[in-house]
Amino acid sequence: MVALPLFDVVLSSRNAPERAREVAAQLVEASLSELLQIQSLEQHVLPKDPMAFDRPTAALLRGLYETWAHEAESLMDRIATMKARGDAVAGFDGLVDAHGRTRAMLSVSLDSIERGLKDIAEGRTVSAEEVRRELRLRAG
Amino acid sequence: MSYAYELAEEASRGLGELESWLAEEVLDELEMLVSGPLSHKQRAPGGFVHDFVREQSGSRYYVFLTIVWDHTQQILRVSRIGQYVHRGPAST
Repeated sequence: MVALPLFDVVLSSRNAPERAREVAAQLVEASLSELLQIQSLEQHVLPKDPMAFDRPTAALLRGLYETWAHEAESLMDRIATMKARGDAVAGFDGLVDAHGRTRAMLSVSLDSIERGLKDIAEGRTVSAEEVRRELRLRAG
Repeated sequence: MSYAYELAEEASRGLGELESWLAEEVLDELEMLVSGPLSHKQRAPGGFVHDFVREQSGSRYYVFLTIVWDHTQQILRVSRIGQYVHRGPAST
């Protein structure tokens, strides 16, 4: 996010909290918009067949999401300093949720995606009943 | 008509890495999915996206599933499960 250094300058001026809140809200909006663009791009480049796995494309998309999540974290860290001063920022909760969802998606590796699809294609699946039973056993 | 659901072994391993209460929530979510309208449109590598959020002890748990519908056999198959935990309050 190219505007983060600008945000740092605004944040360093403790006499302009209203301006800092406005800039923060704009950056949150820009970040969420960027995520939507990545998601929209993803819908267009993935293979039509959900069982098909195009690893090079998946790796490039993953890189875009990783970069977005990293930049969102930088922004969230800065806004946390504003929160500590008691300043609220519009749209921040939405950014926290979008970041959490993206990190959950990124928590699964490309290898794992490929293995999951291969399991399904080759019939290595576990039924709902078996899964429930295993969970109950685990819970004791 | 309701669909059945099943997990790829890889997804089952992912489920096993979740805390027990959250794993139960995943299964409840799947029960709800297969008995409701089939309306997934967002794609991800490995299937269609279904994600949800739960709160527990001040933390927010984000769970991400990729699913593949088999309309011929009327089965929803989960290809993978991931999670992320946001510790502490999220609200401003």
